[in-house]
Amino acid sequence: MTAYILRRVLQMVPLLLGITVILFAVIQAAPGGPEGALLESGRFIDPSVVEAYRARLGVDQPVPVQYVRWIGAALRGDLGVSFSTTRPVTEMIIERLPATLELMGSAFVLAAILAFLIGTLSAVRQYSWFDHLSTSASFLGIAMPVFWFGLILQLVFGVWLGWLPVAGTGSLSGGGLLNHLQYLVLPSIVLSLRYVAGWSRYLRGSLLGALRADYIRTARAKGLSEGAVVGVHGLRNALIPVVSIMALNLAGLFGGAVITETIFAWPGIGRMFVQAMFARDYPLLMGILLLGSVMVVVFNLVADIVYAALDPRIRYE
Amino acid sequence: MSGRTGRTEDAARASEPEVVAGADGAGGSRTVEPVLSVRNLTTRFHTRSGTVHAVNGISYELRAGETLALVGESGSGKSVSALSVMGLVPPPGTIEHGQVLLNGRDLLQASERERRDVRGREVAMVFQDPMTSLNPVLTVGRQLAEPLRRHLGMGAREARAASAALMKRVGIPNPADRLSDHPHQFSGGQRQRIMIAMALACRPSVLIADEPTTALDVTIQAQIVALVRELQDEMGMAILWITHDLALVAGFADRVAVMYGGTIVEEAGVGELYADPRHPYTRGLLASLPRLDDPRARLTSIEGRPPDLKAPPTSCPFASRCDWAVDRCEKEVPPLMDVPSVSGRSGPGQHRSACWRWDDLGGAVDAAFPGRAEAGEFA
Amino acid sequence: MSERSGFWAELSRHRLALASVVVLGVLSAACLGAPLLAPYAFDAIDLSSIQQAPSEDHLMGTDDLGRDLFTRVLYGGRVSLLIGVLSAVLATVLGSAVGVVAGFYGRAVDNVLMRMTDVAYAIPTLPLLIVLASYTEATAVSMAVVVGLLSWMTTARVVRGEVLSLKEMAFVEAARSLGASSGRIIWRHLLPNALGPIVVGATLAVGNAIILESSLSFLGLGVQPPTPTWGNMLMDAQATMATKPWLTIFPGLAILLTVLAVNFIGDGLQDALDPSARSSR
Repeated sequence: MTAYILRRVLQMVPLLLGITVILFAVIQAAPGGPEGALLESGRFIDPSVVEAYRARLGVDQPVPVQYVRWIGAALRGDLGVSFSTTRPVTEMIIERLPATLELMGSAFVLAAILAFLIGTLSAVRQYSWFDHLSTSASFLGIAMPVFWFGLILQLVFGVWLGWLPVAGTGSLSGGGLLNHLQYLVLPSIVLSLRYVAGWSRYLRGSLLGALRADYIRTARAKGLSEGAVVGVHGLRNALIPVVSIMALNLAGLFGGAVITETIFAWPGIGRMFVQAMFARDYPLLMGILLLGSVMVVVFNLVADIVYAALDPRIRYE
Repeated sequence: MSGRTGRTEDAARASEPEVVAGADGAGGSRTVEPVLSVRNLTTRFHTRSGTVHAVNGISYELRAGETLALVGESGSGKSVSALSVMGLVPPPGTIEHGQVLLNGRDLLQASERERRDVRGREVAMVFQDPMTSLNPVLTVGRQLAEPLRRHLGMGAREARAASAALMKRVGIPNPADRLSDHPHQFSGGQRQRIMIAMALACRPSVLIADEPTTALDVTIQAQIVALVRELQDEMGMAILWITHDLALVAGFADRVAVMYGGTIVEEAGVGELYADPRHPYTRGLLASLPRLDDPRARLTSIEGRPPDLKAPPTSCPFASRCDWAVDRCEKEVPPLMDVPSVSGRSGPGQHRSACWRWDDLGGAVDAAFPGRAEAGEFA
Repeated sequence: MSERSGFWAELSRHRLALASVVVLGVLSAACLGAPLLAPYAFDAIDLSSIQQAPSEDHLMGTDDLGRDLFTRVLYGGRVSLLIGVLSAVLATVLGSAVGVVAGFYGRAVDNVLMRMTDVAYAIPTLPLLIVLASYTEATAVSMAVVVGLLSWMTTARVVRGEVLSLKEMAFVEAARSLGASSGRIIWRHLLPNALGPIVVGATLAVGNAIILESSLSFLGLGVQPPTPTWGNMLMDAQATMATKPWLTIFPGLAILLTVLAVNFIGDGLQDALDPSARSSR
């Protein structure tokens, strides 16, 4: 297993290199170059910051050299200095990371629990009213734009019913944990919607497939209760592909967090990203994009490991 | 085939009506109660494109220590009839009527909960494909322990020890170490051994074996058959052995029931069935067996196609393929009728045929089959 | 019993797909015919009737400049549908090309193309889109190109898988032994047989692209006002959501309905093209 993980980690290296090349190219492609685009925007900026940026990359050097210098610094954890705040990008990201991870984490857990319950029940009661209802709901969930769902929830629960706050995080020190959790509810629901819909469908299909397998008949022939047949023999098999999809989708949560945080004024990386985009703060944009990509790659690895750990048939050679 | 003679003696003993004093004394004598008695079992599949009459009112009895072979081609309803006994007919199949009496209790009248208590404990089943019948993600130890814990109330440790003993009994080397292995780490033959161990874990009174050797190599087949026979001698359970291979069961079944088109068309003691088949389909099956004593002999096959089960039977299901068919065969469904036994014994259930012309048929088919010489003992 | 209700479930699913075709057809026709159908001009400012709730005159009410919302939803649909279809076509062509070439030529070509696909897959789509969209003054076509360029990966993977299995089949071997050129084999044998998943993928890509476009517009990065799109209408509506909820509800419903219809069609197509997938989904 250790060797397997090690090999998978090594395979990540070229992937990450490819990602950084693309990201670097994208940022360089900004009309007039990253710093030029900023200067042209007419926004005030500390000239020394731009100068430091140019010197750091060596803008008079050929682009490949610039890339090497940039990636060298990035490997040391130096992602440059933000154009808009003149603070180190790494520092700004670390500051905002907990809020984003909190949102992603609670959305993930919420989606996992709901999808598990809905998917299992839909499969066990295939073609029941519950199955039809959950199928319809999941189609809605997948077709619903995240931001619009967020607006509607704000409208209903914040404005009309007045039950929950619609923006911000509440301060832990001022309002306490419960108050803070109230702020977390709507964003988590919004962010989890798509995954509740997707995962519950996926689990349903996977479980229906498993329940048709010969070993389920064997389990029934042993006289096991339906709960044990479905719960032990069915779900244990059905969850394997679902769990690895879930790990893969963790990365998609990051993209969703950009929109969700913007709507709910959640002080995380996603919101900072949108702000950085309007400020043409390319070092910050680049840093966040890089973080997002690394997350994707890492979660891919997690998905593989989870899959291998759950499925005894996978050998790690 | 060594030990064959001993088996036939066993068989004769097992199928011989044992006379016991009737409880009330008025009726004279009666035979030993069968462990499994299936009566008029009818199972249908209500599909989108119509109702499939998979099993049409079959009846048979099975006594302790006895082996009944249920023989038929695929689609003859033999597997469905077995699943019906287990109460495991997959949807959209339903058991329309009939009785499945296990030790005198009708399983079809029992609640699902009661049936679960019976499954794996009093009647167990081994399936055709050992590759897919074991759960790939659970250790074999866990799967073996399940019936023990479920039915015998064993704790984890006790069940583990018992599982190891079971593995040892069915011939898996290093059983204690291998309990934590997963099915894919065993060979096909070993997996079927594990399936057998699992089925016999609670010492059921009936074992249903649904083509347990079909998916295996020929040499492994013989080993599995030998293992099951050994275990039968040891535990004394009755076996319902489902197969399409008439030659395979010649060696060890006590009686044979031949299924065709969802009905039993002939049933007899194994020797008698081979020596004096009284149904054209049985004769056709026997004629299609390869001859061991004369490899140059031509194999014959039964012309035509199996019956369409979408309609309820209104004629003899075999009539369209039958060389012997007469008008009556097209008009009336023949019931299973008692046929005088060559062995001299007669009486209900000894030899039955569902052919109007059973009296015109008779004598051995000109084909060799394993154990034919021994079967001749009866003639 | 369950078999029977399964039959109804399937029939109703196909009915849904058929109904979706009708809904989408009507919707597209209405949007394309907006200049003829719309009761007002999309940029007709009427300060005497600003922020009116839905009424007979204004089916969906008016916005803060007194513009008729129904008119703007119709016009907004033109942009959204155009971007959806155009980017789906682009993504499908690109993805199919990458998938077929990778699957057909295999070895190094496959390796390089698939690693490229992995890289493209790993970069979070929406954030990257946001950066790219900020580079230019967005037009419907530029948006479609950007969205399309970031949505081809799934198709590429699916088509590659399909080609890998098709390649081994007898009829491809036969064509090869008859001396058919690679191009001919790809064009005449592989692509037509992989058409099922390609079409399904393209359908789902339309829905995806519409959502992506509206998300970008919502962030202010899409097609710029005064040209209405469903996304930028929602952006405008956010500020007055509490008092003028209709401004938020109708454009969103338009997106939801469109994407729902497209997805139902995709789902129906998938059922129709791959009967084996039917019962498990």
